Amino acid sequence: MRYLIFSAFFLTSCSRDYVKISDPVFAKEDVYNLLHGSKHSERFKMEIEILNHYLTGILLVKEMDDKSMRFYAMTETGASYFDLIFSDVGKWKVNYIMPSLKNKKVIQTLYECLGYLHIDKFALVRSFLQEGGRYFQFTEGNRNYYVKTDLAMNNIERYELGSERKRKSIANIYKSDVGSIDSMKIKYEHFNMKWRLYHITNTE
Amino acid sequence: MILVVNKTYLKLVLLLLSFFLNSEFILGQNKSFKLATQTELVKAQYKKEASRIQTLQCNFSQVKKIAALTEQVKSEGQLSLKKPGKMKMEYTKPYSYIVRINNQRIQIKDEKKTTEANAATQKAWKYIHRMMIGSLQGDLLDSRDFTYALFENDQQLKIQIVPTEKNLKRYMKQMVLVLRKKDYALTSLEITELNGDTNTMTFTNIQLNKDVSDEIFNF
Repeated sequence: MRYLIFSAFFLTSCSRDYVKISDPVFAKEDVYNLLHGSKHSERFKMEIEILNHYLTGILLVKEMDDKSMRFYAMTETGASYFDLIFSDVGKWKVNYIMPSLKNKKVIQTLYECLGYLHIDKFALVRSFLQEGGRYFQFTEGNRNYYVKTDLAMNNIERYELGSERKRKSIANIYKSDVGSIDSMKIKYEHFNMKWRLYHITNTE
Repeated sequence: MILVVNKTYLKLVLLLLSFFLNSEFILGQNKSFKLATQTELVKAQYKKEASRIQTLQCNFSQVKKIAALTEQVKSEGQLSLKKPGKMKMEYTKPYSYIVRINNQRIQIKDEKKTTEANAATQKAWKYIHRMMIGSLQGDLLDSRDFTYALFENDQQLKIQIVPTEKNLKRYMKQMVLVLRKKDYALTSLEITELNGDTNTMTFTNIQLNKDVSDEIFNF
């Protein structure tokens, strides 16, 4: 019994202090407006550090006419890394992936990281208060993304991916004056992986 | 209205002028290529002429065309090659990125880090290196890793390469090299990937056999 009480105490003390908001002070549109409005087409310098490897390249993010999102990455010399399509919640398609990256876990991680770039396409399911801020939970298939804002909902502090109890990765996003993403840094909590994206313009 | 017409007219004149002043155009860039009939003769001539080239320095522009996105990505920089196996490729746009290949070792330096090439990019780099150095050495066509077809016009030689080697076939559909006949220097290199996307590198301001220090390739 003692163990049961201890375990229960331990679990509750470890979990987040959720406060469900039954009467939200915000409108859904306000939340979506706060997220970066995905531009029709954006380009980034991409840097990936994974298990002592360092990859760089150029990432193109484009919203297609059918509203699907296309993510195309290539090396500086023009060789394609991947071409992925997101058409709807939970619906991803690999159009191309470099043979040496063709691995289920790699592809899932790509989906996770690229998801940060278009959270505004996912379903907002709930919000709660925690750590002096407001959290908004978005779902994409079995992935949960959290957007943390200040209490007044003026600024986004960071994005997170994971479950309610365990964070998988954190993304800090820096926006330009016009609201598009200027740079983004993703850090995984439990394995050595970092993604960095920097907006570039002079490639057209 | 007059202003508009004049501006349009001026643009047209400038466009035509730049078109015809471009010596590459006059020298046959656009002349149609015909399948080379005397393949062995052309090959021998190419090998002989290419053997005279010891170093090459030039500017390059690179255009990656992504068919599905109807987008293209442009980059540019400088290239240095030195026989037998040294290459330095320095991208200046859209950002600084330097690749040094000194025989079998590959070093990549971007704005933040200097690393040795990893497995994912190594194969692609080695292949590009082999093509570029091979084009200088003239022994490119001796490789058993691909089949080739030769096309020519008065001024240029075009080599169309289709990989047959298992690993290369996983990365590209074909590669087309264009060399100018006056000195057999490589003027363009186009790689077509399996998905149909193309990456074209065009080399300009080509300088052959100038003194190129070994130091620029060292790491």
